[in-house]
Amino acid sequence: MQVLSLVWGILAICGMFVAFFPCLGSLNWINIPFSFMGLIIGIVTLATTKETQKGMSIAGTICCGVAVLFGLIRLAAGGGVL
Amino acid sequence: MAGKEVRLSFFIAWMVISAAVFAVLLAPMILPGATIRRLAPRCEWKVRYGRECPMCGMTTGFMLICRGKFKEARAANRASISLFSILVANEVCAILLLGRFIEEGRHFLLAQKPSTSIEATLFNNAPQGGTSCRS
Repeated sequence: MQVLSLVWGILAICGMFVAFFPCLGSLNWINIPFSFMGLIIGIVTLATTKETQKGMSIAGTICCGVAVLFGLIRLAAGGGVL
Repeated sequence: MAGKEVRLSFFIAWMVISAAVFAVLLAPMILPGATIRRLAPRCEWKVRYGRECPMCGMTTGFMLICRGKFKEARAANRASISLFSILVANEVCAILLLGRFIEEGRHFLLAQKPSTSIEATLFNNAPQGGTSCRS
């Protein structure tokens, strides 16, 4: 579950960077829901794992949160498509 | 222990990205040009501001590279050949490492015995003769 959370976070961040390209802004319509799902998985993992093993799920959750936040900013800046 | 899992996570993420890149590289070879042009995103920079973005012409460039027309591909987008080469190199590396992972990592994951070279490749600090971290 922790590995899944981190993998999801890495993929969300990669998707976010790809969506920063000028003509690929609409990719955020896919990447934001994907990152949001990762955020939920990360929070569930955080809640279910032991205190000492939370590092990876914290990293995954932060990555997904950053991807959602910057994806929304990018989407708004580009008018939804740019 | 956590280091191994982090590296495994990056490895899995890299494989997923490589699979997507593989589809991007394979599409111009198997799909007709008109279909790819229809599927490719329209550059909004061109529509809104009337100027090309750095990625403009990349789809055409990739299609031309797949047909062996390198000069025309360079004319479509100067970076198309470089990007295509980088993506192909990434695919080769990913396939080679995935092959080793399937061949040797499977024993590491299922039989619970220490692996040899795949651990050395993925997990440089693998314990020699130690037990797996997975239970």
